[in-house]
Amino acid sequence: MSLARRLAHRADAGEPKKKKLRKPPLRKPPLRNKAARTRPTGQEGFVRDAVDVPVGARQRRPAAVAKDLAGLELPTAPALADALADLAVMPRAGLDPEVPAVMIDLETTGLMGQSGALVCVVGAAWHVAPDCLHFEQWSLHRVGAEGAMLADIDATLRDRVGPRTSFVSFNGASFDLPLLRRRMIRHAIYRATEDPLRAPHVDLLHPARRLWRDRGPDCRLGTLEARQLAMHREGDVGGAEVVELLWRWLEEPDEAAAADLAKVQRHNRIDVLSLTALAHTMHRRLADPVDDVERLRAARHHHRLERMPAAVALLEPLLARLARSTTPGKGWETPVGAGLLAAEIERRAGRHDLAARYWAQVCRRVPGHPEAHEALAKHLEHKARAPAAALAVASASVTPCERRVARLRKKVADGPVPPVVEVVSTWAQPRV
Amino acid sequence: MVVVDRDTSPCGPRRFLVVNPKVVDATTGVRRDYIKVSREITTTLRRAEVSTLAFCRTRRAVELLTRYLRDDEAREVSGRRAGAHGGDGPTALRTARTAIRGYRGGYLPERRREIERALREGEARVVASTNALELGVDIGGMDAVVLAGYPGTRAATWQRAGRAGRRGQPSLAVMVLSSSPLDQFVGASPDFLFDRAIEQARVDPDNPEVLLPHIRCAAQELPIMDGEALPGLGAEDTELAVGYLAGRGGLHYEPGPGDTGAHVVLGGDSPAEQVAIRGAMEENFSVLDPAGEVLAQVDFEDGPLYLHPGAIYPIEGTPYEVRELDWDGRKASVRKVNASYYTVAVSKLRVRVVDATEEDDPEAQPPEWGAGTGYAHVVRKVPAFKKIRLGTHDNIGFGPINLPDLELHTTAAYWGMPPEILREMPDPGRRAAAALACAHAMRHAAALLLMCDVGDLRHAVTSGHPGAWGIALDGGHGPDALAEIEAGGVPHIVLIDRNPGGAGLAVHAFTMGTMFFDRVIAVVTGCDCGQGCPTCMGPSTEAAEQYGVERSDVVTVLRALRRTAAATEGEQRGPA
Repeated sequence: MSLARRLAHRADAGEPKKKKLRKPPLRKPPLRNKAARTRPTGQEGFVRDAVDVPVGARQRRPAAVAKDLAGLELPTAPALADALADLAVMPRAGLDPEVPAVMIDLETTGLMGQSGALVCVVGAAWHVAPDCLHFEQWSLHRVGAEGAMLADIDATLRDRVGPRTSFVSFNGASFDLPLLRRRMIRHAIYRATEDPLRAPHVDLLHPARRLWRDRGPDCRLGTLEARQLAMHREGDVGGAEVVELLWRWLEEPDEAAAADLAKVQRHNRIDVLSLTALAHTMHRRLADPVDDVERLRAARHHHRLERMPAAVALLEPLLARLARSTTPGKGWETPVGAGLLAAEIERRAGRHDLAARYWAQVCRRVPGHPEAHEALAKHLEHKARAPAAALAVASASVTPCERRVARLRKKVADGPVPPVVEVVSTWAQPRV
Repeated sequence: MVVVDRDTSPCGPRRFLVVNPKVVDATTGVRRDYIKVSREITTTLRRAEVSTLAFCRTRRAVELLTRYLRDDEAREVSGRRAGAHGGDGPTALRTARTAIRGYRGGYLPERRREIERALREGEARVVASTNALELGVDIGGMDAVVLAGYPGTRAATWQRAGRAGRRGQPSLAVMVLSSSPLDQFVGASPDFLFDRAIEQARVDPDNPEVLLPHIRCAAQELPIMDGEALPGLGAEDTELAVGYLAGRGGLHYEPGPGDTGAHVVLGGDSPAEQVAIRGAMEENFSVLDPAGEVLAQVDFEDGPLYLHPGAIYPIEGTPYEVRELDWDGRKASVRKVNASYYTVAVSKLRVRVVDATEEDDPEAQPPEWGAGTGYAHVVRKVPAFKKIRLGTHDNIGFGPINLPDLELHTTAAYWGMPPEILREMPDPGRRAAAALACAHAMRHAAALLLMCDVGDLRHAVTSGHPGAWGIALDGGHGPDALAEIEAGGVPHIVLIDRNPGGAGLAVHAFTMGTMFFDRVIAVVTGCDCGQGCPTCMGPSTEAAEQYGVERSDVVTVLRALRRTAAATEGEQRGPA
């Protein structure tokens, strides 16, 4: 039976539901005029805009971006390269000064990255001179032109990315770049087995979380700009609103929708350019934290990237305070965190006595601290071979390990067990 | 990539018993009710403290079995206690409610999770379930599985049987056969169950109900360009299907440069989420108690069958009576009652073949006498319901139902009775009875050959010509079916697919031609009953009772149909 006949006899009940009318436009659209509905673009179905933004001298910024970026300090190319090297693990040879990093951000018609998400506005920026940023923006005007737009983006970026450059994004590791690559493969610009636009990638969300988690309502780019860069976006659109506005634009590209698209374009431009400022600020704060909590977090960041000397250097003032405080007391979180981190670094470096000193200092400051008691008892039992002292320390934990305590008790038998305070204060002192 | 083509699930030694209930009436061949036999076997297992899953084929069977098993246990517990401390009915009932559970689709998720928990923790010892517990639910530690009726496929049989013995302990599977031809065939040929590979899944990708939503999904992935041919569809059909969707707002046409353009999906709703795996979706009915709490959900198409005013809607064996049905609001108000009966809605399916193989003439008249494939227009009326007493299954009353009809279009195959039969069997009543029995046998043989569930097909007999309205037979039907067939004189046997839009099953059976009829004749003649029984010739119908359909008549008709099919095949092959 032919498809035509089957379609002709299809039951009415099973018909595809008429597409539900989308939510009403966010504000009252002006009267539609026929002429305005003809698409404003050429044959390609997408447009590409570019603007050069000098860094340093704010008065020389182009009018289009000057107001939006007011208060923002943009880094030079070498400053940005330094910052990136500090924020993420970089290729062994470092970034190539001739091929600057590419900041990138996508605006899409779906937030979850599901199959219905089209790449709609793409902003990318890179330094064309040490003191000049170049910003490039692609905007889709027709759903059917996504492939052509992605091909143009690919042609532009392909030569700019490589093993010694870097993408810079905010949450791009899990959203923007996978989506961009997936859509390029979907449009057969690359084969499914290929891995387009592969380059090192600095996703600023991760260091930002390490540094500023819980220190604001959330860790979104806009929040960080406001709290850490002291920059406020006027009349910006939110993430969910972007989706709504883009669909409106693609469905009915009239004047009102064009104005909406302009809002999204501006949002995207600010996102991309402020990435450079955010990287720069994070770099400065890692070197010179504003308070103890940030100092500890900066040290943890370096520890995570396996930069132990940098981590230890940041911890020093906190460790000095820990060494000085010989009695239990309040306000211990930061120095104790520093002690545990330093102990971990020393233990991994094979300096077990030094690690034990930090653990003992923590035990002295916060009697019963489970992690420190456990670690110190382990050290005393297996490295220092002092079962009696180990037993004292293990038993004094707020969550003693039953098996360890039982084993140590057997080892000690009826021998004397020193008071835990004595053991801890002995080990907290530098060894002679 | 690694191919896993062997069962690696944990399993201890398994004993598989097939129980065929004894024949209670030698002349009609009626066997004992398989639900009652399943009840006895499950209760025996429960008494021996064997944790048991009882799989039923229908939701109603689950409710009945749950109720019966609880009654059995409560009676025994209160009997035991009566010996020691005097009777304790309510406690006994409570114990039974904890140890014996029912499980099926339609229960609220919270209830289902609770039953699964009770199963895992060993609190529930016996659970009666539909296929809802067959897949995707983590249960271990069961010792026995009772299958109330052949599950319909070997795949489902093994899947369900495998629910016991998951921890490597010895397990038992008992399959209780019903009187249906398929069950009896399975009972007669053990190699069918034990020595053959499991069934293949069959789907007709050109079924509009399957095709159209998938095209929308494809268009959302990538725009469909003008002149593009989707793989497996060809440029012409792609254009047709895309145009159909565009005309109904499912796709949007976007002009591009020059004369080219593309069909796209606009808007952020995900068409993939709107694809229902098991068919077209209407909003479900909610079952509400007097406080307005939702007790259960019922599929749209089952609403008129289970939620008509006066219906008893049981949940885990507890009867609720439907007070009111708000059709547009998709809500049924129920209250708990103490009913000693359950209800069965009488559903009448009327079928009409609306399209023959003449494909190119949209003004085509309904097909004349003959055999062929086409489209069927199916209307389901639910005019009344029966009250059936629990335990005895006696009919104790009727009630009317006034609810909208359900309509669907699907694919069909039809076979008209050849002229020589009209000469051979001049009595229209006898012809009608033979046609009904043939239709029954053909449907079951088709299910067997196509390796599908019997429920995936329906059979009908129309009168006069295939384009006339006929009654689809799905078990019970009234005498008016006979009246129509008698009036028409020339019965047509119609097989239709149950799925809206069709799954290509009936058409496939038709294309098998003589091979198909060879199998049907083998089923009817191979039965070792006297003159025909519910197994080989369908449930005892008014037609059969009144006119005494004989096996020889059925075989005569089937042979004539086979000759017609052979002649067509000969024509197609051309002169040798």
